[in-house]
Amino acid sequence: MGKFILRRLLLLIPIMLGLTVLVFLFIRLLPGDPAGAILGERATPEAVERVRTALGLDRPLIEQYWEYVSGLVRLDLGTSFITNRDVTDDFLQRFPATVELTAAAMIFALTLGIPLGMLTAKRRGSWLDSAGTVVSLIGISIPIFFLGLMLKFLFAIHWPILPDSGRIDLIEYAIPRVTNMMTVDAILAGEFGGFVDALRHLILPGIALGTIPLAIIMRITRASVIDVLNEDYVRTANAKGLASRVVDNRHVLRNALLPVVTVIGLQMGLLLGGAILTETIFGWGGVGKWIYDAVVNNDYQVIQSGVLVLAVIFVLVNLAVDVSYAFLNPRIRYS
Amino acid sequence: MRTWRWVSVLAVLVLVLAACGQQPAATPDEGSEPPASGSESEAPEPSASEDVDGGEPTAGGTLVFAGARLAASLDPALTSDGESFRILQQVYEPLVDLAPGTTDELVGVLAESWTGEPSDTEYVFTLREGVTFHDGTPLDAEAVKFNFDRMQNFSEEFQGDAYYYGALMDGFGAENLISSVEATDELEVTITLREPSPTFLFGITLTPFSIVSPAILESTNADDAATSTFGTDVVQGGTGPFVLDDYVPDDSATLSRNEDYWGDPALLDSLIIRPIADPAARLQALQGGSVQGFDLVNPSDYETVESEGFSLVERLSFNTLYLGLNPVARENAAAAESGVAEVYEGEESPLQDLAVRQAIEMAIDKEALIEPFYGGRGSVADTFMPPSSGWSDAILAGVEPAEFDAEGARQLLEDAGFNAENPATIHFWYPTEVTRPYMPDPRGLHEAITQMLEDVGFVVVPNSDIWDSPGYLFDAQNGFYDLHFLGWTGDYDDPSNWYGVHFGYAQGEPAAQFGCDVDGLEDAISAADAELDEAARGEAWAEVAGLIHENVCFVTLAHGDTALAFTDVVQGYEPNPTGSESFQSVWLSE
Amino acid sequence: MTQATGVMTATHEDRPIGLWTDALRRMRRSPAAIIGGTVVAIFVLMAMFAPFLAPFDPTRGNLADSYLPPSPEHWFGTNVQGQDVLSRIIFGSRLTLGIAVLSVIFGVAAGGLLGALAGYFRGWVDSVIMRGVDIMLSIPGLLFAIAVVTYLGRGFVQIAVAIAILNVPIFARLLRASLLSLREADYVIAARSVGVAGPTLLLRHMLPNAISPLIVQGTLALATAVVDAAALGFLGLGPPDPGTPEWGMMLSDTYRYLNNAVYLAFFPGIAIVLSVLGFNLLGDGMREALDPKLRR
Repeated sequence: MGKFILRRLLLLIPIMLGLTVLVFLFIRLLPGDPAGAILGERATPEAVERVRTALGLDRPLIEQYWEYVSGLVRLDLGTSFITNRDVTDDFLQRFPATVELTAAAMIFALTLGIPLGMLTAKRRGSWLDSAGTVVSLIGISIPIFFLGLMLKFLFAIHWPILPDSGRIDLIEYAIPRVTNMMTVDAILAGEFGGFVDALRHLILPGIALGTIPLAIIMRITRASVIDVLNEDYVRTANAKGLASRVVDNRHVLRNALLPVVTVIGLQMGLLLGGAILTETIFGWGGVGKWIYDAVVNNDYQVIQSGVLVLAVIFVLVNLAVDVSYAFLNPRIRYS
Repeated sequence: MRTWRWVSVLAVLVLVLAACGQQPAATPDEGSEPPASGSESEAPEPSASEDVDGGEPTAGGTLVFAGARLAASLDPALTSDGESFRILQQVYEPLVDLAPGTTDELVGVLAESWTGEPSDTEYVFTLREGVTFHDGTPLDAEAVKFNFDRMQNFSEEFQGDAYYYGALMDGFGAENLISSVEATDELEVTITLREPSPTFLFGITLTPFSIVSPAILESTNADDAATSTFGTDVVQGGTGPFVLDDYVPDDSATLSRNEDYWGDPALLDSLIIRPIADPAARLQALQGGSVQGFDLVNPSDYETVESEGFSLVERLSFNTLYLGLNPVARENAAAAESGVAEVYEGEESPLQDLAVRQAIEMAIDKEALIEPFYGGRGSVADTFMPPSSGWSDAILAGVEPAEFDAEGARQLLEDAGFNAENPATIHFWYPTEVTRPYMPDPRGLHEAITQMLEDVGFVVVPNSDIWDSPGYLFDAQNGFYDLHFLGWTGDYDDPSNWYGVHFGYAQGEPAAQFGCDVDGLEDAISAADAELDEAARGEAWAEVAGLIHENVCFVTLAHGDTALAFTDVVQGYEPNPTGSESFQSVWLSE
Repeated sequence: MTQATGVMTATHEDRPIGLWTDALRRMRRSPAAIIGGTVVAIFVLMAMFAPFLAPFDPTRGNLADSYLPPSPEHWFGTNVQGQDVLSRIIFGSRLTLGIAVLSVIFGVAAGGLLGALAGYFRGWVDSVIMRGVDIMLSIPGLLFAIAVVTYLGRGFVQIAVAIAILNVPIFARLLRASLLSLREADYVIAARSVGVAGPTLLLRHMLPNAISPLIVQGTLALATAVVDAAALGFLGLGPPDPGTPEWGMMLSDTYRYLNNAVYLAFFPGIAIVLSVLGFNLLGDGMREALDPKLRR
């Protein structure tokens, strides 16, 4: 086991190195000149040259790359060329918002997807199963931006029962930012009302972002529960006369959830991509919108640091998923 | 079975969450509850939210307001857009400002009084006594000098962002318009100009010319591009009615009342500004109750706003959308080795022919744009000057507006030698990621005008770029675009801020954006700029406008009407055509 | 393809019917495949015969007719330009399906090549390619596409390439995995033992059998490509000509007017959902029909 984890960690090294090279080269291929971006319309060739020197853009690529990587190692992500803001600060300010949103989406997907998957599996062939299949297919096919717009229109505008945007009611609750996760900060501030309000703000974006993972998790759970239900040990347990609740918990669920765990890891990448759209629609000050703006505005420093940090987080999440998978499934042997 | 129960428990939980917090404070119908407030949704005047029927102004409360975005920088000198001004002018103040609601009347702010006529080169400002910055340091003449010297000596890294200083003070450094700024007494500042500048006082009303606490500028290293934190940190460097408390990029700016304000303190306890880029989403936030007011209502939503019981606060139009035409764009782009040059593929621009430019002007049915794009509230732009300007009649006297005439345009084009085999091909650009008061829907406007041009026989190649530098604005202002949209919201009411800013010559070269090099234009602009008698000034600028419109250097299209929307508890917002507005007098009824 | 079928029937003695014939037969019995196939066919026909089906010119409108609500003349209403929304949706299918198909072709070609190289040569080639694939998969897909479009520009082909790049690692992994499992298949070992080697082994014996998961994944990739193309359009990264009828752009353009003309956003959205659903159903049906493990 330890060896497996070590091997996976070692594999991270080439991936990380490759990522830095890819991101570094990519932004240097982008059209436009960061020096021109800074100087705006008053850019004279001499001024551009001086700014390029100040930014180190006139030095050899290797030197620039070394600077970039050593900065990353020191956790110094640099300063945005366009807003002059510290990238690390900006990232830490926004990332918790995205984590909160992603967690809400994942909780929504898991708490509904797994039970629904089990339910439809146990009633395979019934009308409920067919309905579940249709719903999950539609869930997979509905783009986040369309679902988000429709949810917002229906439940925030037409029947205003949920907030349309933002993370908390700013008039009612002035909550000091500690973790930048509104729900957590509200609890830390002892504001129960604020906590509930923050949860309410999470519902629509959480559903918009969580629907596709919900549908996928439901399908995977259904398929793997069906597989497990056909296994001998489950049949034996049932034949022994064990209560169905015990069989469900002890035998079916535990084994059926293994493939689901892998899917969760893979969904993280989709969620980060989907966060760009969800954050745009629901005015959510997270990392998705930030990176998107950086890309369209050619904010090189933010792109080269932000994209990399996101990728690293994604890789680590997947590693964690793989490791937990290994823990959960004793049958797997890692060579 | 258990799973069923679990699913239903979840569903109930979501419903409870949805139901338990239906916001009482912000729903639009709530405001009608307070007694004696009367029926205010009927008030048709633009200033529906003023305190006419909301009772006596009372202090207290929080207002959440949505703009399109937050500030580009927290350093006022480095900003040049209305969204930045909106936040920063609550915190920072200039020496003099436009009187509330006007575009051509000056009032003293940090300066209690001043001397200096448009023909003078020396201005003496007497500062208000007892004004302190939010950090507790006093405002004195040295502080003013410190600020003006700082801007004059901006290093190159800052000069691009310090657009207004550069544009209004003839650039930076010792050779610019400002000869000296001296503290002639503890509370007396004397500014000497190199030559008379009739609009100097109007220029320094703008937010970038605000006075910042020198102690803060020093402690944040504001003048060192590499280490400055002034543009990003929350600091207490202003004198205004609000203090900046918290600033989270892309999320919110939180301001609270300055209890030690030198004038009447603000009525609101705090003001929170949220960025919501899309106008439709801003309206949804008002409807959903997460904000109580927002700026730049989409014209097509005016009816919705009024019919749902919100108040619409309209500004008199003080902006103009135009179509820039540049006959030398292709040469400019090639000379600058801009990426834009690639799209032209070395072809010669048909715009060099005056007849072609005239055909473009005649092909455009400006009237047809007003209803769909401006909700019927805007107006056709015959000249650059908007209808709310005191100069619009004077300028119109010198301009002969072209009539929409598709047949005539086609004929002109044919006579110029263009036909189906040899079509006039123009590249036409629009900006993305942006809406402006004068340009509520750039894509839509582009498509509509493209169709009009194609109808008379042009071949139009669509192009676009993102708005922010180094994108669209940069390329447009450097004159790389054949045909492009751009517009202008006036800073103050003087033709020099319109025709002068756009077509002024620099070192004998015409403004790059239009490449409008017309015989006599340079002299006409200098003469008009120096003219001090009001009537003669009007005539002189009318002559300038005549030369520009005659040669179709641009086609003015429309004046957009802009408006804010508020829930009906919000009172006392004073709109200004320039968009430069204070929240000091805003209060909440209830 | 017929040649491939011959090879397979010859090698799989236990199967009396060829894989493809069998698969087709089973697909005809799968309601998912039938419904999905029908929906896809409708959209394909719509794209092919758009000029005959659309009641109006999708790019011409009269500003005086802007924002007409749905009516017998304009079933789905008109947009700000006074253009007929139904006609724009019909013509929009050309662009959307075009981008989707092109991107999947690019993706299958590039990903398939990489996967084949990795799966065939193993060793360091495999390591290098698979690490590259890992790197690409570690960047959120939509973000990658946005970056590529920003870099390449917003033309039809550029958008297809951006979406194709997202698919490359998926196809590469898929083909490599199938080839690896096939290396151990009896008939491959048999072929190798009689001296078949090199490209012949790969092209004639292994690839044809690795192709069915590729087809299934390709169909499913069409679904995601439609969503990705629309998402780029929605974010303002669609084709630069604002007149282009593209579903995602129609949705985002009209989002601005959601408050008083919901139908403008609703119809293009429904078109996206239906076409994506069609590809997903068809892909699912094909998977069940082609996967021997799922045979009943």
